[in-house]
Amino acid sequence: MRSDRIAGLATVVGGAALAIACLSIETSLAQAELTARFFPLLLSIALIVLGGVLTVRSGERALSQSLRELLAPGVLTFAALLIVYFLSFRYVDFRLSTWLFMLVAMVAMGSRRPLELIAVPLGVSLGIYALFRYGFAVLLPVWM
Amino acid sequence: MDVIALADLASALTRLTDPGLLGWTLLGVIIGIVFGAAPGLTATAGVAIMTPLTFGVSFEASMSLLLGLYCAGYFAGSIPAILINTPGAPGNAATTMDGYAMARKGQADLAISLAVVSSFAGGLISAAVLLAFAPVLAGFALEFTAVEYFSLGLFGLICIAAVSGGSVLKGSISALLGMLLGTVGIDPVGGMTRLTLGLPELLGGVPLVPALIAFFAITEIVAQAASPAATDVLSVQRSIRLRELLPLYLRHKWLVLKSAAIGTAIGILPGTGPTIASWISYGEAARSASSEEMGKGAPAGVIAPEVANNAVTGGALIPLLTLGIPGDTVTAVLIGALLIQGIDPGPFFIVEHGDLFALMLAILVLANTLVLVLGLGLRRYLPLVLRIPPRILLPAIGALCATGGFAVSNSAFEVGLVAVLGLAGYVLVCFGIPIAPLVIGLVLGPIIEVNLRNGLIANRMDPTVFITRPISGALLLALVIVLAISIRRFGINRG
Repeated sequence: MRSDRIAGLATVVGGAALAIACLSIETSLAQAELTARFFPLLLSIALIVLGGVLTVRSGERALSQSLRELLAPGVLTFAALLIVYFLSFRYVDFRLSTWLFMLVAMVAMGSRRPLELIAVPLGVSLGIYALFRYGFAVLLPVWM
Repeated sequence: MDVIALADLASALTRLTDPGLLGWTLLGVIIGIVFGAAPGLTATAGVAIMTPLTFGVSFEASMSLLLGLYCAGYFAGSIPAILINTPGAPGNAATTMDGYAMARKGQADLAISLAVVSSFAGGLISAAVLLAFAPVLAGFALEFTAVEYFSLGLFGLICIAAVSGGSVLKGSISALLGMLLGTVGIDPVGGMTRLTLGLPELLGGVPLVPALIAFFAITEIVAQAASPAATDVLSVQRSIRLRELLPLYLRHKWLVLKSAAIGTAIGILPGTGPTIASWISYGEAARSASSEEMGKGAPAGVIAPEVANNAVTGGALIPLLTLGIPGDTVTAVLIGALLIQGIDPGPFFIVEHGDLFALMLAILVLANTLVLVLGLGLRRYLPLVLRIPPRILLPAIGALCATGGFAVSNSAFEVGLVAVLGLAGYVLVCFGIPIAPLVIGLVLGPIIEVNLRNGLIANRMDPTVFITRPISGALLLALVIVLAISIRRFGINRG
């Protein structure tokens, strides 16, 4: 199976879904000819057409190659850590969540030196906090 | 208005002695060197991450930081290109051809010095072109109507879709996705809500800066996590004396000028960037340097691409500051930074803010000078940047991305958006869909839509007006030619 064929099919399906979503965009009577749905609908149709062409004129790259990149263990681990860290951003004290994210990510990426694992996460979390809080007056989420 | 007031220029130059401005530019240059030199990270990612930090600072501090980062980032990609045969950014790929060959021959110090001086020359010449042409073009652009803006926006978008990644088809799909993202929120003409998924946070549209952080930084660091770059760095080896450089440059003076002209011209073309400029210049150097062994360690093979990729900086600012159309990916991000400062880039920018335009020019000169001074002075230490291990660099940048996304409007929603869009960007990359057209599509999509609709409404729904008006017609013809050349060269989908 070729990678482009899947990408093309996904583009067609996505374009179709968007086109349907565009049809539900409200229009006003004042805009008789060029309504709010005109441009996104035009783009969705173009997406369906180009997705169809990609499905037919797919390149040589194998699907397994794309999936190998997408599902590489390093990627999955790092992506999972990013999602947890980003989505918990509003709930957890910034200094704690950043320290924990740095520590776990560094361990997952192969760091084993105790001094590095102590100093770097602490330095990065406190450094970024100080930079944003005091340098740029951004109120980051903190518990106290 | 044909030229900017000399008083503005003089005033801007005197402000360069301001320690604050000098400090911000220096900081930008240092950060730019780190982002440019770390393989896989780019100046664009650096500018995207730093942009939210500029909320609380003045225009001059913001531009000093970001333009310093811009210039240094484009130069610093040459360091890993020379020392580990891996370009820090795509724009430095051509430098690997002769730069790494020089390093293998024990001439890494010479190659890095050539890259520093060439980047300085390219940046400075393009700043001079910016000074000469931008005010003229801005005056010309004042005559543009919605019809011309639509064609110009479409031209910029198709240019990048056609050349990005080698597949016109995938580039176009990426551009369409970007434009679709740009339609989310309140319809700019009629005020109706579109594609917000019921999320009130999206009523104002997909926020530009978090989207830029997502696509340029998160996508890149996730890709790096898959294959952390090797850091088998060659030592700098035989030292050179700086006076040895002068005869080399005198011998290659026409190559410097030609490469600067190519880089600036490519930069002016909306949507293109340093990668194309450096390869075209390298090709030109190879064509005309018959006596030298191009590809085997010829100085011309470092001079040409490095002059060209830094010459893109001034060139790419021309369409941004005169038409509001980004010349490359970094200037797409700079639109966000300018909007943060309450400045709408476009034909009125130079007319209404001649002093700020002059200041930006002066900052460009300062940034390039700092690249020269730091680059030559610290060239033996620059390779240390390559030794920052990815296991530290990548999570730290991830943390900066989250904080930067939050800082845009103190909203955790935007932090989540950064993660979602960044990971979606990585999925696209795995399937060979380039990211740059998507981002340019996000920036240009609203411009294209509003001007298409206004152009049609103003001309009684007559679509032929886009062809019959001379400038618009010429742009659309150029667009067809770009597409035809790209399809002929690469096929519709190279795969």
